[in-house]
Amino acid sequence: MNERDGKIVSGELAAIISCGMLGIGMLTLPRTITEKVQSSDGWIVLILDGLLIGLLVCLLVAMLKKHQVTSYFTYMEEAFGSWLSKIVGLLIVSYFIGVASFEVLAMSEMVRFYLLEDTPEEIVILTLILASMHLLTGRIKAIAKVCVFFLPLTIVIVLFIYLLSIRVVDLKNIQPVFSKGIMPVMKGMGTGTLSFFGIELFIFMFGLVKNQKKVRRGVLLGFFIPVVLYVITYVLVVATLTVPEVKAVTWPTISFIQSFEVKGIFIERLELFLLITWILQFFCTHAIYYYFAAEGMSRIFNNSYTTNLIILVPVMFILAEIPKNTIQIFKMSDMLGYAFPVILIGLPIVTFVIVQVKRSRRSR
Amino acid sequence: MKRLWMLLLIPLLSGCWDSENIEELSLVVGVGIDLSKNKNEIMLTQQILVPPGYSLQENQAKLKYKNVTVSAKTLHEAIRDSLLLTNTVLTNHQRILLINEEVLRKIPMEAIINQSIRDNNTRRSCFVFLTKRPTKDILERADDGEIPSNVIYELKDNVKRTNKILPPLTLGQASSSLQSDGSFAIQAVEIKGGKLILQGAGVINNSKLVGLMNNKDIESLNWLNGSVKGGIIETTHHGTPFSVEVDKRKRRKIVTELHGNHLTIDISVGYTARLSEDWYGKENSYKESYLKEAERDAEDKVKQDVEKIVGKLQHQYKTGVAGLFRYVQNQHPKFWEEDKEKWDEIFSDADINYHIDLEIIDFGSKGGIK
Repeated sequence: MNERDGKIVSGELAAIISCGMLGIGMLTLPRTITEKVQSSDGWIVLILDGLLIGLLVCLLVAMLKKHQVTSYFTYMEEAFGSWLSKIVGLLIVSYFIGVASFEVLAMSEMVRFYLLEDTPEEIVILTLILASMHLLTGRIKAIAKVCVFFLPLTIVIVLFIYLLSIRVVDLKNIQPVFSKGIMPVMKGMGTGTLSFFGIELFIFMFGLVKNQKKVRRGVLLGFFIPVVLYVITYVLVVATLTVPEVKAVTWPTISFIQSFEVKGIFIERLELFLLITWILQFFCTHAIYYYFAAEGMSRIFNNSYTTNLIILVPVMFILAEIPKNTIQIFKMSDMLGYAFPVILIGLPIVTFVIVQVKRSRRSR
Repeated sequence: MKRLWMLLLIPLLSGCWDSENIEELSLVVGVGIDLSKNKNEIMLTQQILVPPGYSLQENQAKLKYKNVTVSAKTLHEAIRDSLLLTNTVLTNHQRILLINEEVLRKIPMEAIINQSIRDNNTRRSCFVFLTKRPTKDILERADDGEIPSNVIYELKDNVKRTNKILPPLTLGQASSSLQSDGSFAIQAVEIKGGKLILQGAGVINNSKLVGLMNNKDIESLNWLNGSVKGGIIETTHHGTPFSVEVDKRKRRKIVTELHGNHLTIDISVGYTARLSEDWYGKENSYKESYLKEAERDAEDKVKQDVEKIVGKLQHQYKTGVAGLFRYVQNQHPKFWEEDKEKWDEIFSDADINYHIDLEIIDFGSKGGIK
């Protein structure tokens, strides 16, 4: 087992994908989905979307396996030629940078609102970027270790908090199922997909996995952990706050945890635990996207990875400074949301088709 | 070079930007809202904890709290104005919110609780109460130096022993209800004989106070709502009083039926109970028929009470405080979608049938055979 070969095992792949997916979505998802569906059927949307993307993931894994992709950037080069692939690569990298800076921004916003009112946001943002830069000097292996450590911690804490919330949950509030028929559910599915932000990363990690046979299992495991957490979160939050209230509050999941107090344990207020674990998750998501941005840049510009890490610090910092208020932050997330399906679905399929055609021509 | 890096990192470890000394903070435990004498202003009273041993003169009779009262047009301004008098207020530990009746007659409740809901520190789990007297008086009522806010906070826990208290209403629940049908009852706090007591309730509809209830009404409303968790049913048989203690709810089923626009609601509940007191001289609890008779008497009493409160809700307040709308919404989603604006009228015309099934499962440690 060589530590420095930069390969990960499928369990680590699962942890990275889960940590990549669990980000701001968890805190705002009940609102964004309910807004679209206009009823309490959002959990059906999540389940359907989850299954749909699960299938898609299986398909993509099969496609990548068929072409024996070791590095997605080389694979793109094969498809698009050196220049076009560089442009596409650059677009992908800028998407990664966008997500990375969005995650720090969202985190700093949450920290400012709930935890440290007087600390300048710049400091919070910079601290997080620098911390992940430090982590990233260890490349994917270091991220894998952090994710494997944080993920169980997050799951345990979140489920523990949810368990104690049962008292305030009133399942009457998420009935009736399909109150407005099936159409709103279908409409909500578009927005629902956005909750699964982060799953697209697996196509870039494909070549990094040591035991190729277990890739699909790893990806699916990593994908369904957040899906299950999301469904539970949605049901509990909407059942506690009711549909009209969920639409009105900015951070529904935090409001939900603030609606109850626990007596008998040494601590009564549990939102603090959620906030702390979620900072860890923001950090992971940020670090993962940051890594792929730096990695992608070194492929495109043929320069050193460490240089890119350093170059990206000011880039992300400035990008995170652009949105000035909460509305603009949510707008930024919408914008990134448009790019997400392109990178998850459009790009791999187009690449696959072109490579398939090229290869079959060559072999003829 | 490596050492230089470490030096650069030192400022990041230098401590907390937001640190504040705890004795310089004003921990708010209770907040009261009244109308101010100045026109269009509201008066905010904040009850602040005073840490023990903090006062400079040792011999002074120490109060564990102090009240800060300020008037302003909006609540947040009032909170900020209170900073002219006291240290930074911290509402993280706020336990209760008292609202005066007059306020709710004039200003929508949604506006009153808006700041608290928006605020990042106030928790949605803090409890909301109504007061007849100015909240300022209530927050000043100290028994043996107890903190009034805490007294009220703890009184609400008695909901398991008596059914004359409404289930506590949290800020979050109030906000959710205001967003959906906007009709609920809110427990009131009073001063009686120099003590703080929970007495009466207010009926909120569309964010405004539309009526008041007495303890008897609350009891009946709890039966209707299914929120009875204990307490006593007292009535008479053979011309002498007896009482039955409610033990546990066995079931509660609500069926709503629609005929055109006419709504019928059937509520059936089942409880187990204990014969806890009997003044009848010829009691014979060892005979099943005797207990059955007592059951029937108690059931009739509850039924009468519920009928009375239903009549009151339908004709006096004209609003469905009891949260029955949820069942209509769940069982007839289409109808609800179209007619939810008219819910108050539909509720007022509805037929509400209440069936209760009491089962006396024991009679304590004395049965009496005569």
